[in-house]
Amino acid sequence: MKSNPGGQIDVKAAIGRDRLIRTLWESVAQQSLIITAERRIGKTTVIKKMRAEPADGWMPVFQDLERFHTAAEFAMSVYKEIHEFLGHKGKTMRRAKEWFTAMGGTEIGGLFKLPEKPGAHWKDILSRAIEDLIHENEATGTRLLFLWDEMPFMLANIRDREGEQTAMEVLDLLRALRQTHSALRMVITGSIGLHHVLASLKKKNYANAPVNDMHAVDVPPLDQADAITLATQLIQGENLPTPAMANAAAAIAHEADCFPFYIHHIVRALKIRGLAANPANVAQVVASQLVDANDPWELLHYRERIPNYYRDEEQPVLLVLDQLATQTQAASVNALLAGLKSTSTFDDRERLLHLLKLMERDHYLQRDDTGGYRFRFLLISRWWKINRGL
Amino acid sequence: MNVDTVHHSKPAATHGTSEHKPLWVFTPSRTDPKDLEFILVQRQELIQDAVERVRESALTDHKHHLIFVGPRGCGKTHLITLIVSRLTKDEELADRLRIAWLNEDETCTTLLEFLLKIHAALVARYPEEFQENHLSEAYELKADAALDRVAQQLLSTLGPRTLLVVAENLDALFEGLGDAGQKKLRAFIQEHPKLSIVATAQRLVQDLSSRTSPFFGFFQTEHLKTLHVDEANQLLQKIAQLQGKTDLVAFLATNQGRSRVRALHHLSGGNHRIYIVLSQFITRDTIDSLLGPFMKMVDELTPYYQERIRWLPPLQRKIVEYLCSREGTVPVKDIAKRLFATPQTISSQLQDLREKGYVEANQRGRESLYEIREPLMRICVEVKDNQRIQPLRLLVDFLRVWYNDKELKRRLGEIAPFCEPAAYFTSAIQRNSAEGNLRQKLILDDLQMSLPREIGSAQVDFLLSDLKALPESAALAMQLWAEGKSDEAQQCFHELLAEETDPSRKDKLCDQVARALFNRGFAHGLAGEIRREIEDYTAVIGLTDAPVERVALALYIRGITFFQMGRKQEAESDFQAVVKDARLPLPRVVDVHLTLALLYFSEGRWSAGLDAIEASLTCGETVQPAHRGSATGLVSAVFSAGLNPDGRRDKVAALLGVYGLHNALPVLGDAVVTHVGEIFRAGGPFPATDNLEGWALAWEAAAVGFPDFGLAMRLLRTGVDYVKAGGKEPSVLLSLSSTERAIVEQALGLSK
Repeated sequence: MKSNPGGQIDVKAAIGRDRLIRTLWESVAQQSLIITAERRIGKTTVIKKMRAEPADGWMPVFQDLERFHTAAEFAMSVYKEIHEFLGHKGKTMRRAKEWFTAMGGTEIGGLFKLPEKPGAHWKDILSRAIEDLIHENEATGTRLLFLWDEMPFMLANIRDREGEQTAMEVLDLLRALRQTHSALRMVITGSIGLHHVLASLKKKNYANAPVNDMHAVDVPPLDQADAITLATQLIQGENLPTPAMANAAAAIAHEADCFPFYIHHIVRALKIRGLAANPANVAQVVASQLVDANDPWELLHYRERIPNYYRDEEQPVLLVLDQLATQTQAASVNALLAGLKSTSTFDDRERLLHLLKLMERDHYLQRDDTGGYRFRFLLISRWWKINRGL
Repeated sequence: MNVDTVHHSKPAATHGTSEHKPLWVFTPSRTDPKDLEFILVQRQELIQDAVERVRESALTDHKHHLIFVGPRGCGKTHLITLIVSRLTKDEELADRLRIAWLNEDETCTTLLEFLLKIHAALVARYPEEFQENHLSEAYELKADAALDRVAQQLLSTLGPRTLLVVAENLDALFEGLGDAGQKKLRAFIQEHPKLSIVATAQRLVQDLSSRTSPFFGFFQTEHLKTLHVDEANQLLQKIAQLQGKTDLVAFLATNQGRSRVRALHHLSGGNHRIYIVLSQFITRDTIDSLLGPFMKMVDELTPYYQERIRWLPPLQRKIVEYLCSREGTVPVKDIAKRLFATPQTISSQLQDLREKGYVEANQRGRESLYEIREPLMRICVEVKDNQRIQPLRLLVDFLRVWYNDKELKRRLGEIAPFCEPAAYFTSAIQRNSAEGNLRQKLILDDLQMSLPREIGSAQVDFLLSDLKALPESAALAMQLWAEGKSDEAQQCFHELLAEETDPSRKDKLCDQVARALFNRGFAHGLAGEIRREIEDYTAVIGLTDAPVERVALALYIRGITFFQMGRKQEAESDFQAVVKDARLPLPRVVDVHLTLALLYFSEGRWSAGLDAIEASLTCGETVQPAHRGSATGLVSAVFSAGLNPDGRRDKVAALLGVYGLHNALPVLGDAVVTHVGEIFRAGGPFPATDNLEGWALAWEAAAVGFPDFGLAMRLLRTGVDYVKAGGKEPSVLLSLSSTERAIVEQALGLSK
């Protein structure tokens, strides 16, 4: 296998996600899931592997939702998937179809002609399609699982095109459908936190908690052993000369903080520079990539998104991260507050607690056993220190 | 003449291309791929890597997406053409891969249009499989339904094969698609993992680099590098070879050829397309073959560069325009002065412009000098300057670089007056007359940039005065040495010497180069750049016909440098080489013998050290008055060698013996006093009193049989007692007479 940072990975060759996927199948039997993680950590690979290798009794359907810009497009797409699923089983979408044709829509040879004003009826299309799915599918043995990638992108699209109200209604309707039809299952993922889209909706008085019935799952970096296996396979795939494969692969896994994306990047950089895979070259490549003005690892994003994510709270967030990047130990809330007080006018403990929670959700921070905060990823901490000249 | 093409005059023997196949300057995709392969430089591995990745995409379910980023004219289409050509030839991929190579600057505003363009490209390349009428039904549908139909048709015709989409200027394509179109495209790729993309872009626009963009992190990005001077020379040689111009190939490998290409490199900024245009000029040797294609290139690129400048905030725009109006590099303070801003403000804006790829910085000493990164931007700004309608500076400079003054005048005489080429030749002659040899100036700029950064401006001026005195080829050789290309530099220097028939001028030239190399080596040493210091001394040592004295000095100083680095074997070898050369002036040989003695002492080889001292004294006696050198280093070496009283006494006795034998005890006496003075002047903490006392006793015991050494002993004893007291008891000095006291006070640094 060649290094392929950012590209599409053959799910059969995906490494180190089997245990996570088993857990996801177990969880989805109980409730719908929302998967969160930084972009490029491998969420899409995880759900595509679920699609390619479904657990017994499930029929997963993968949809990349970012292409939808209206609620109607989304509803029609769900309708089509259900239509196809039930069609395979010799069932029909009685309720939705009746309504669909009554509204002026037609279907010829698998292609759907929408009603004249589908926008006004998207809720009916979606609700009736789901009702059909649940009722027609009873006791047929296989359940449909929606794997919905990039849900926050779609919500942002709808918000921008049709307004906050429609985006809120999509969320509310999906939640209502999950409540009404306990057999309905969906796995939602997104590379920008859903909470950021919700935050913008809340400004328009949206007070609901539309995903609090879903189980949140985080996709972590790989285990060390899996990261080493991946690095080994990539070194072999690129035919890199290496004096000691185990040492080189371990060095790559360590320097990349076990992020598969960065492991791919390191091996690719070694290949491009014509370097042998050994710990010294790995360290050299990582050091140069961290300071490279072209930002090949796209780390600048961790800095650039802060004003957008935290708006008025940008300054305290920067100060907290600066403080944590320069110390090896986790810092307590009190220590962080003391740091803020000594370097700024910030002195609100409650506000700090709220910010820390958000920073945890955005994968900047994690808490240790004692409740202290530290950078979630060592690599990011290292880069932060360099980037901020600390 | 078609200004877009370069025609081969005859087939290239090396790869057998047929006659009349053109090299397309502006649309390399129309050039025969065999010719493109032939002239390829710098990017062999990059292309191989891209091909391997697309192969993996075609043969497995891994899908790679590659993007090559670089400014206009940097060879992107050349690269893409070769990737496609190699993939097309790969028989294993014949039934596994279909290639849709979209037209350059394709515009699509929706995913539907994008898929239609892909389909059209497939129809053109694979007419048996993909046909236009397959989509006729889609045109009857509304856009959404048509999208489904086209996608379905494309995927079903594709079957299990992988689709490689080749898209040039993807940045422009994405701009047309907009956020919505990009999201749909990305979703399409995710839901149907059958696509691999190989694309190019002029820069990493927000659509590719912002994490909020759908294609963030999607591509494996390679930033294409400009040509290095060696690669540029290689490219020009290959084009000349392709066109059967063997005389030109040979010329490019000579000093004159090398210095011309090096100077051209300054003007071209390493841009591939400029070199291809220049290749026409160089191979055809007519000014028409320069002006026509160049004007076409400038005309085509001007709107692009204007647009790029317009995107900038006002102050940055002013900086860029100012730099465009200047020749060469400009210091920050000059820009600040011209724009009525503070150097700090300008510095931060320049930093931003550097990150955006508009300018680049060069270091001269501690100063940063800036210039426009792409020379074409400068010329496009110049073209738009209504106030100065005159020959383009860059073209005039090309002529100045390529032709000597005599040649310019000859050519001017051969063409009709008042025509455009005549204006160019006239301008080149006038500027040569006003500003001197441009090639030499550009090579000097290179040399200046290669000087160590840590040295002060006075030293830079000193070194530059050496360099400015050198002829062009010698300056080029100096630069080649600075780049670590010693073989090439030697060759360059040999050629230069071969051209010089006057023996006295030849000797002077050798001396000038040796001096310049030595001084630069010394400056490197002061700046702590030891590797480069040694390289320059080595160059002096290996210099044909260099003056003996300069070679000896280089050997000596290189030996000392090796000695300081602990590379004692190499140091000894250098010192031995100096002392064996009977032609050297005597004082130099004496000093080197003494340094050898010091080296032997440092290794505990006392007997060899004493032999070296013996040799030095013997050698020094052959002139009147005798030259003895200094023994302070030797005394210091014995002091540091160990505290054992017997050992010390024996070594001191041996020193006294050899110096006594040669009636040179005053030299040793002077050394012991100077040494104790050095200990005191170095400041505390001083050596232990036992150590100092042992030292004095060793000398007193060994000097018993040397009555002539009495004065030195008194002075040493007093000096040692003074240091033992930490310099706090001046009365110690009163044991000496006023004359003797003055000597000790001077050694201790107490004299006013």
